[in-house]
Amino acid sequence: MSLLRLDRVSMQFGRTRVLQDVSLRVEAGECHAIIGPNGAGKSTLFHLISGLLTPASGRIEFAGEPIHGLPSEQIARRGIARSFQISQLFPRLSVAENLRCALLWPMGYGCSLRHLLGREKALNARVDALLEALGLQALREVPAGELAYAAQRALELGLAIAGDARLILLDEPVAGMSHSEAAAALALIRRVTAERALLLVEHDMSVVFELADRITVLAQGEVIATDTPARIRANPRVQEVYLGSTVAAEAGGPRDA
Amino acid sequence: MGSRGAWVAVAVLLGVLPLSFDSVLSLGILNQMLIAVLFALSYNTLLGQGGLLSFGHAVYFGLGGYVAAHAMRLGELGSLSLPLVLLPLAGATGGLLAALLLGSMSTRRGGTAFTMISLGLGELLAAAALILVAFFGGEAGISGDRTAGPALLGQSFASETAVYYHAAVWVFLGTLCLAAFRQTPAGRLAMAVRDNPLRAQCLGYSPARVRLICFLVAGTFAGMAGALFAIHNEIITSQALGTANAGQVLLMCFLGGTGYFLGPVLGAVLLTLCTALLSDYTTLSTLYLGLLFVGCVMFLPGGLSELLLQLHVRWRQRTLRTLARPLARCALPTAILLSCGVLLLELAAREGGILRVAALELPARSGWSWFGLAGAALVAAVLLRRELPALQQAWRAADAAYDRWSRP
Ligand SMILES: Nc1ncnc2c1ncn2[C@@H]1O[C@H](COP(=O)(O)OP(=O)(O)OP(=O)(O)O)[C@@H](O)[C@H]1O
Ligand SMILES: [Mg+2]
Repeated sequence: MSLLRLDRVSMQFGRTRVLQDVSLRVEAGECHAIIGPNGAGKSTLFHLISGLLTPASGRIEFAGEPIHGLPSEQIARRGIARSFQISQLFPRLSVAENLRCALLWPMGYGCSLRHLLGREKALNARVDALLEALGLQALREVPAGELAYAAQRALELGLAIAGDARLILLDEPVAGMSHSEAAAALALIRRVTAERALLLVEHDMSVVFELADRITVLAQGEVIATDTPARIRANPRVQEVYLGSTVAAEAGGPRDA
Repeated sequence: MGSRGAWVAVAVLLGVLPLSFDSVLSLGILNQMLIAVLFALSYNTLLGQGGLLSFGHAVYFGLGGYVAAHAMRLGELGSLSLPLVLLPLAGATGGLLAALLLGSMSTRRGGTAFTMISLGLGELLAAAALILVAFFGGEAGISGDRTAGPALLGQSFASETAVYYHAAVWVFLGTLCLAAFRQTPAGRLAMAVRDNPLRAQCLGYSPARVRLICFLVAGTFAGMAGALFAIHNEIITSQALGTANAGQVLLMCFLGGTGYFLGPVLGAVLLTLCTALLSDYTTLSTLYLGLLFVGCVMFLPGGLSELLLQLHVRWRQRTLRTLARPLARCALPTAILLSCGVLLLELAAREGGILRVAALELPARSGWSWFGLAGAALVAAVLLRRELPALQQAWRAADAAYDRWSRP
């Protein structure tokens, strides 16, 4: 049984059809990449899975149970965490505080009134470990809204991987990072998703081919192909609609900020 | 928030304050201050911590007060014997229940929707208070005798001093609870939802639920403050529920600053003091408070606490000295401008006669007083306009280094 299963999912905004009959499976432990040109509907697909949008038709199942139509917080609690293409942080809270908020649910505190955060050693140790893994120790007391772009992206990634989610959705996690920052972020992603399933949207083909077990190509709201990286690279239709020159210039392909 | 030492210091301060003011009048003002502090802190739990702007917070204050007033009245009639020291708990329960009832409707959404609903509910309750005479007592309100209840430890609360200490203990406890609430997971999530409800949702928290918890906490302590108010005055009327009272607490929080826990404390103390002192000298105190509010929102969006913090940082960085000269050059024109403005307003509020201020005698009907004051104000304004840029520049020059320090 697949961990995540999308069955003929469609979505439209007013009259514009953004996704048409998208079917997709993500297996447990798999890294599945979604690629496609700008406006293909990749982020919209993430919003549907995480419950921020409700599909016009179709089914979405997670671990065998339908999740479409559930509010986002319920979906998050079932074990789907996500990052956003445009960072969604808590701007007036410090970096450490942002991560702490991401850990409260997974560590069973919820909206408790009985605990004082300063005294929860296990929680704070985990915050420290995350800060170190993200390379944000030096910025731990800085409000997230005052961070430089790269640090914001690192924190955004941190919020997605902090909990114990079984499936992590990452929307262009390394876009806009420098080469060294991106390399560090990728190493971290690989490490924390070793045991978990990852659904990844990324424009940088070198990243995609390095991480992905399988790739789904989306163009104008439709799935064109789902296959292993090698076969995707060789697929003539994919080359036609999307890859084209990108595969050839894989090393330093065009990036989207 | 703060260390143990700071709390002990506050407790000691509350203990010795009445020793330095022993007249009934100033004890009364101290009492009002304490009540305002707790009310403002509860309001800032909504505004500063939860990002929820309410125009109806006086409802919970007022209902808590009515509960306490009824308990006092029943004590007087002999049908209930609740010691006075427990009335604030009864008020808090009243505030909590009202918040539970009304909050489950209004906190489903934040932002403007919440604000409008709070305004509507505030108006509704204030109107209902005049109609539902059985509970609210109509225009006359509900009055009771605080000494009627059973005495506890031989204390019957006949003296103003005893009432002060009683209020001080409860306000201290309430403040401690609200400070602790900020450190709980729920209190921290309220800030998270304030900053970005979408993100909070994707991390597994229901923004509506977090807002409701925040609202309940705020309502509970507003109810407690209301009970202390009823005990202090031995009467409560529908005014306590009204939007004017809600506006007052909003002003306190804005004046003190909503970004820091202590901001509302500062605002509540200052505003209570100003209101009490101003009423001796002028009939225009509400007008001045309104102007103060506008000025605060325009020039000091972070409130006095933000200003003090910035001054403190500049002191630590030794850049405060660079501000001294431009500040001094602005001081005189500002003082002239403000006093001329005040005198003009006072003149406008008179039908005739002579306005006497120190050695100055200004006939209200004479054009000379008007032109003289307006002219002086104009000159001062022109001077201020010339000096202000230097001050602003000196202020900003220290800003780069300031960023490191400005952590709430
Ligand atoms: N809220 C919305 N209302 C109307 N149209 C929208 C909305 N959100 C997205 N769209 C449209 O849906 C299409 C898909 O958008 P989406 O953001 O999913 O693309 P994407 O594949 O993530 O693109 P990119 O690579 O640029 O991030 C676009 O044409 C976009 O204009
Ligand atoms: Mg996108």
